[in-house]
Amino acid sequence: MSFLFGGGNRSVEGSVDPAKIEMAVAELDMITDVFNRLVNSCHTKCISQNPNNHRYVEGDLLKGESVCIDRCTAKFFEVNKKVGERMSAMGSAAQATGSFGR
Amino acid sequence: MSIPEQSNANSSLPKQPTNPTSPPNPSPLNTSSPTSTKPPTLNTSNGNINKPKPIELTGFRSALSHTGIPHSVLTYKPKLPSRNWLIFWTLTTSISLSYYYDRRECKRIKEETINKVKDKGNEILKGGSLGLNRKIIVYGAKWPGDEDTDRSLRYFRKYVKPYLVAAGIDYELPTSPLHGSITRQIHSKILKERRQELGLEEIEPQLSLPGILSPEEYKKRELEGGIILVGRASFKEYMEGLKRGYMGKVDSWKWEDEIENKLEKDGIFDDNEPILSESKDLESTVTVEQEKSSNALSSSSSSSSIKSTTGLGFLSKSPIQTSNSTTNIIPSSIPEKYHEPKLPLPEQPPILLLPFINYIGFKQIPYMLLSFFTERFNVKQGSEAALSIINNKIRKFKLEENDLLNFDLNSENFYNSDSKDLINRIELTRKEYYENLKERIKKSKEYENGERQLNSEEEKLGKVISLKELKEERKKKELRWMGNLEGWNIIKPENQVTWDDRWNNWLNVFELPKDDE
Repeated sequence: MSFLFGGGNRSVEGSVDPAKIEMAVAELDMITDVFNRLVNSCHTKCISQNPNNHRYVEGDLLKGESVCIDRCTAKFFEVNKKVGERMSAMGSAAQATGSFGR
Repeated sequence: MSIPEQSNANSSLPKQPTNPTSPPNPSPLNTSSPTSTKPPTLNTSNGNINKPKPIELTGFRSALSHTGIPHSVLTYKPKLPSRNWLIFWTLTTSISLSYYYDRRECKRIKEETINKVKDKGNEILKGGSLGLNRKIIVYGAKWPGDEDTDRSLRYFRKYVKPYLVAAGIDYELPTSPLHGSITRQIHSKILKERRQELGLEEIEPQLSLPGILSPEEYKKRELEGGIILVGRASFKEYMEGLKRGYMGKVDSWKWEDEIENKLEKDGIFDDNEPILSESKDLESTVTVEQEKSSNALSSSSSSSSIKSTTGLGFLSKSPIQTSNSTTNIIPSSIPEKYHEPKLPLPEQPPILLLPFINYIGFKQIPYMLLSFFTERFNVKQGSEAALSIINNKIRKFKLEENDLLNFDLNSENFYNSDSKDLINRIELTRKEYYENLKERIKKSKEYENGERQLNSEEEKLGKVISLKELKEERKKKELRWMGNLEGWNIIKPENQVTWDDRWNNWLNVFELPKDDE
């Protein structure tokens, strides 16, 4: 995404710029949101089930936790992708039928 | 002289089995006494019911009789329920107890093993968040006769995976949808390695990201890991894959392309009668008609279809046609010595053989029931297998020393008769498909040549099924059929496990505890 910033600022100073920046900000927000959710859900699943328990067994990452986190993130992204595909299919179907019927 | 007593024995006298039948005489209640020997008869509404004599209380009970405890309670004698109830309770309790015992044992074994390996999972990961765990690959072949291809992997997931998870070992489960998929996967993997080593194929450029491993590190990680083969079928397929990979040629090979080439050469999509039978009379007509083929889609195959026998290519086993492939390596340019297997053969990751039987079919229902009540044996086996992986007990595979080539031989007795019929079934399905295909090709061609308009169904869909789509569909089906046939040839009970004498002392196996005996 850095190319968005680099390209936007240095080139034409005009009305297009704020729009691009807006887009970039929105995209960044989305990505941060996905990241935060991922971290939360995988942390809850793999490291400590109780979010109020602020105690770790060890300071370093344990083997079991590492395997769990690998698989958790892989699954998360796969689910994300599948849901995204499904939504875009729904979206295009809705467009084709004139977005009728929800 | 009867002592008038408050007899509590009115309506609650227990019936004595040895009750003498006495003529009922109505008499007042008060004349009954516990010590009288005459059967007292009570004034009841019917007046005809026999009442047994009240039971004599002895010892401490007679003392207690004055405390107000009912007489029947003091004279209680436990007795068995009736025959029918006995049968019912015996059956119910035995079945449910065996179920509960079995499941409790399973839980106990599982907990025990997990406690043994928990510490390994709670070790610190070397390398912090970018460190690597041991990773094992699990191959589970499709069980013959079962349309569900996931059974062997499910067996693994249920019986072995919990311990690996507890020990912090990563696992990968590649899918093998057809018989022989494992063979093909292993074959292409080994072939790629060999070709890259010989310089026939280029190594993909490596991304320079922090998590990416160099090829050596990748290989090292693979060797540290391990391979699990679930069931004898997977074992056979794996060994066959090793043979094809290491002992075979190094020509570039991709299975789907091979099948595609085969399919293009039989003239199903040409402007002629498709050939379904192997009858030799059709050969001459085929040659003549193929020469007047003008269909654009068959242009690639028409040049090579001049040879009459290739019209029957899809039924016979034609050699790999590399001359009309678009890949860059021509077989003749690879010197002969490259094809030789490179001895000593490279190290392979250690193998764990996990026995597995899948009961399917009506005749195997007793076995299914038995296995429902004896899951603890499966759990025990799985836990031993997992322990041997986790503790890394490795041994060389020497043919003389152990009987591993007969691993799980009795599981082949459980192959369904349906499964043995696979070849016939595939042939039948194929014949039907090709008969229908003829019609559909004709219709499609007519439309494309402008000879007809859309009919009503096609107008509804908005399109006609084009020849390209028909070809795709056919290719997919043929891939399945041919794949399954090839795989069945590898795993059928008549064929032994592939073995080459040069492989002695090459492979490593994880040692299961009971092999020590």
